[in-house]
Amino acid sequence: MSDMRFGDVRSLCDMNEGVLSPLVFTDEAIYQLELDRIFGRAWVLLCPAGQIPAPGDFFNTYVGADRVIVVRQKDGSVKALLNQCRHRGNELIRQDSGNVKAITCTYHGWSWDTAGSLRSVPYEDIVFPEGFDKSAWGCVQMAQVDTYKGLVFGTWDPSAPTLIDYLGDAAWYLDTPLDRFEGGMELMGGVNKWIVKANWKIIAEQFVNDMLHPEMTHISALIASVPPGADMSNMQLPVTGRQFTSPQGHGMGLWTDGPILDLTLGERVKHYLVDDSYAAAVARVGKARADVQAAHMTLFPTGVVLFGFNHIRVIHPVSVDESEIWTWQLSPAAAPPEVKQLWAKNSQRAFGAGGLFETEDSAVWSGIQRTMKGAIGRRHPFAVQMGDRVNRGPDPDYPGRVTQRAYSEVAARGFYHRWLEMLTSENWREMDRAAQARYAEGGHQ
Amino acid sequence: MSALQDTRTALDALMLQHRVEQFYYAEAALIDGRDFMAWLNLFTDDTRYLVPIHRNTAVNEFSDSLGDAGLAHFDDDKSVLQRRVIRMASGRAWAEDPPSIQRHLITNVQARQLEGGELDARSCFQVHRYRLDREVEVFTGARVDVLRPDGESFRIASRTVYLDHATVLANNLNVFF
Repeated sequence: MSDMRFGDVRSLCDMNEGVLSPLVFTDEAIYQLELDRIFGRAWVLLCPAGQIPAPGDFFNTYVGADRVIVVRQKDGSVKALLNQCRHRGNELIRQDSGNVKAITCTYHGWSWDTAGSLRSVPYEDIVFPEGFDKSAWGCVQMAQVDTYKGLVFGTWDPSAPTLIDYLGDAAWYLDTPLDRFEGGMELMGGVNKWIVKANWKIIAEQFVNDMLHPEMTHISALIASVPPGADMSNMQLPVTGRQFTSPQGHGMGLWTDGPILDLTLGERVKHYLVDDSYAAAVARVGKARADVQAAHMTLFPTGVVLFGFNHIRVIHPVSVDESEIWTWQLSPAAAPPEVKQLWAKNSQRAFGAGGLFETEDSAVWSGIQRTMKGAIGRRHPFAVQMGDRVNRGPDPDYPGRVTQRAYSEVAARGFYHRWLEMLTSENWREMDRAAQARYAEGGHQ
Repeated sequence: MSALQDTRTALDALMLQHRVEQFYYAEAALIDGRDFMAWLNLFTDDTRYLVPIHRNTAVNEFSDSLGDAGLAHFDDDKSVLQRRVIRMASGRAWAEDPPSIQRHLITNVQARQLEGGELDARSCFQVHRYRLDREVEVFTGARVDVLRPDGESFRIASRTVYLDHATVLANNLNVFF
């Protein structure tokens, strides 16, 4: 399917019926369309602000399959520059992170300042005897870069809504991990990166949607995490919670009870979260958010936040069937040092490349991708139908569209609705109209 | 007399080298044979098992590239290592079912006595992992251990593993190094 038309894409993804073609995970033309229409327009999570604290600090990342340099400016703001020389295209920065005063290409020595303005061209008088307009050859850069409570986002699209509008109701939920603690969150160390041989949506979809899989997928980690000799027969994963979906495609599931934090973060950290800091958190963000113990969230398209674990990740779609996962750990800046360290370590022990939980996830994700190599494995749609399909009306405690339990696929349907709208819409107005129409029809469920 | 002492010193060094190498070969056989409980018993109760994360830096920052303080692939005490072993032995760690075939090749072994009787022991490794039909991954790196004498053998009082990858080129690090 080298000439994928929008009509074809629409036939592959029907979220009113809850059916999804495997082709959305395998088709090269769809992937190329995603790079252009989704990653070329959406607000994409770039990195935690703590990755680039000082002027000149840079972080080398991806947006879609493009390499991007996120760099702190002298005035404290952030710019995101395409990592490509405007002259003959060479990579400008090859280090993962560091500090620069100028960005100089190793091919012919063109040099830009950290704001992306071309400052010098070697032998300029000789090689451009008729003169050369350096101001026309600044680095290609993201049109908007903004920070929300310590997370840096960027979009290539000058006509994209502001970051806060793009986040919508998800921002209220994001405050649960990011603004719960006086003094904010602090980045603990650097970034942990690995590859998964799976399409990016398979991974993003789990974090937008899937609270159900741990009991099956992660049984070995649960066995390993209970205290020795404990009785497992009565162990039950929590059911009290919500699932949230939004017109922008963001979604999450949250738990307000259960043993998951004891098992993963340990008693000391859980004690700090649910006892030591609870009263202050209620005063700061209210009871509904202070009561959230653990949650998974995807910020459309590829930003992931695990509440409780203070775990941040980005899923980079490096090709149609391979992704890179980059993860960070945050800890409350004001927490005792041993709590901060333990929090980051225990979260990585669960969700790092060698994480007790993570390793089973990556095996499932790559397993899904393997089943779609053949024509028959791509022919039959997958079911995305769990959960309440009827709008139950507003929730008294939680904003936006929420279900009354954490197990559902409402958020996956919201994710793929938005995915299709973004692929097939010419502009943001069209996208918003489509979202409004489906919400009016109840099709978001 | 002095020549005899020299010979004895040389023989002691050879014996030490031999014992450390044999210890590492036996350890590798335990991992590759999936006898993870026995492998765990090679570590002292106060051990630290650390696998820092490599970062691609500028040349003049290279000494700073071996690990970002505060975030590591593994930074485990014995109880956490034990949890990893229990998970592998649970029979329900689906990523290792069917088990991957692993081969730990240990080389470049160097050992020297520290004051107090422990050893500073260094080695390099290449781990070949084969899983399912055609998943092949190769991990290379170096290990810096403190070995504590235990009868005729040793126990590992600390291990730092320097993986030769900034991005782990694998689905997971379901591997003991």
